[in-house]
Amino acid sequence: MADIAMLLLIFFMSTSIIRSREAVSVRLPGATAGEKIRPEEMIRITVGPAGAVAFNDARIPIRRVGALLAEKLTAQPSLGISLHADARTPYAIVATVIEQLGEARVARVTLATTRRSAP
Amino acid sequence: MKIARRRSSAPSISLVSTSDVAFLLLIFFLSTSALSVDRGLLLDLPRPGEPLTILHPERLVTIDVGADAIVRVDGSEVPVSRVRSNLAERIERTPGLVVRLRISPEAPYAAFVAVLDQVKLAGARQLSLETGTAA
Repeated sequence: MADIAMLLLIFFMSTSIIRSREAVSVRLPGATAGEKIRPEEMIRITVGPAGAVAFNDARIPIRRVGALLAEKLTAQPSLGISLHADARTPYAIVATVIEQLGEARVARVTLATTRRSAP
Repeated sequence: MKIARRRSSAPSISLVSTSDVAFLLLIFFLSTSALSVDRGLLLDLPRPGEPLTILHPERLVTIDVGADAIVRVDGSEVPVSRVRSNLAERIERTPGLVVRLRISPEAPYAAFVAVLDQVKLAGARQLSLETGTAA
């Protein structure tokens, strides 16, 4: 029994993804219609409540988002984009980031949310 | 009288509690790996230079999200939780209805996501995103 427990433990430890320390810490808004995201195929853009922006856990100025995205997508066109913005962030900041995504010719973005049950 | 001397056993660490620790860790990783799935709302963006579509007013519904996170559908205040039912009815009456989402720059992002969630649940397929306030 202890052997089986150990085996299962090793399995779950190895399949869990250990996330590196976040450059910008956020509290995501909730949504019911959210779909699952596969993190290994995504570029992660994080926007903090004060407007701090991180690109794959590296802090960058907000105006650099478009240029960096264009570079990454030229190298790997199949990468998806997920936007992790804090629930308290003013919409104007998020709108600026979405505008930059449009200029980088991004076709689809996933707005990351926490799961909320239907009312 | 010969007294049998008990051989003292070598000191050892009891491993009985190792399985308890293993089970605790197992439960921890079982529960956290289930919770670590990211979720999100998909949004298709228009290509730069894409021609603008002119919309007839009867095929358009405007949802305003104010700086105070109050939601108005065509000027009438509606609780966020009722946006879905309000829209679903209109989408059924007018197939191809376009939802114009006008969000105040000071509105919290959570308010935008809550309304977008309701719009998606209502089955709207075409969306126009605008930053601004109702005149």
